[in-house]
Amino acid sequence: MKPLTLDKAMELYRIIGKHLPETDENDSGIDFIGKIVENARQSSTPQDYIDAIILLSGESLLSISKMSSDQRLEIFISGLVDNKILQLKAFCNTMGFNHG
Amino acid sequence: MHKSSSVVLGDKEYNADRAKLKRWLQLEGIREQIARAADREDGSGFVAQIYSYLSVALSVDDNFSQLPWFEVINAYITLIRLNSPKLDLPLLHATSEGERVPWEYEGRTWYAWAKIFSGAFGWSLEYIADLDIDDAIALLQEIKADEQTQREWEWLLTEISYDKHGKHKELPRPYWMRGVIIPDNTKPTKIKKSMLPVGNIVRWNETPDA
Repeated sequence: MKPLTLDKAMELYRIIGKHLPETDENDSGIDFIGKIVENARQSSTPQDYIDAIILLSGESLLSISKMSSDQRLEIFISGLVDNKILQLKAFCNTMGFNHG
Repeated sequence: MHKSSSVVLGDKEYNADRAKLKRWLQLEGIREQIARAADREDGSGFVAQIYSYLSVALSVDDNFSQLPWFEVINAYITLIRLNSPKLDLPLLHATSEGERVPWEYEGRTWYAWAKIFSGAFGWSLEYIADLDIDDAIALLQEIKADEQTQREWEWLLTEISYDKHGKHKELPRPYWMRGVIIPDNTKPTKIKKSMLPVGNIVRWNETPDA
């Protein structure tokens, strides 16, 4: 999966910023992403999860809807890993972006 | 002090020199725009200004908009570090935000600095533009400190600087000239008289009688 450009990464943060858990220094990147997945699943706005997958994959809503839930989850997780989501959160926080 | 840094963006390596005064002021202006865009949560304005910072800092006109975000941000952070003042001057810790005057315009900061230096030292615009950042800020602080002491002297000579009891009212100093007040938390220690030394005591701050 191709890493996001800066404008797309900011868009990703706008969508999933509110689902990002507080970082715990004992957490590994995998733990952190696990918490995001859990938050997104339990969220009252599951559309954010779909929007993030569309952004990360570059696929259309129609293509995404034809995928199995496991395929969608895989795109979501690998997209967050490839796009260094911990680093993105730290950067946005440092710059004062509070959206989400 | 690092005078240059290299950053990799895409498949290209760029060497950036530490900015001189004029370009540094331009970069600081862009940083201000970046901070304002972040405050407004204006993602597209924020991104545009980050690209603008890279272009000015690297003196290139390349398109960075298709590069992975972390490459762009790592380059941005490297360039911010390269172009940060190294001297820890009180002037840089002033917290109050200057009021925007009606005659404000983009790039005015450079002319304001140029006016101060040309007025104080008679330097040309080219010479001022090429000043090292730390030299420029330290000199600006000296000029501002001189101006303040001059104002204090003039204030001392005016009638309004005294209250009706004839007590002198000090002219307030700007934030950066007030210094850091460290609270004295040390408790006085009592020493028995019998333990004190006898004879004449000469302290460091006193001149012994001839």
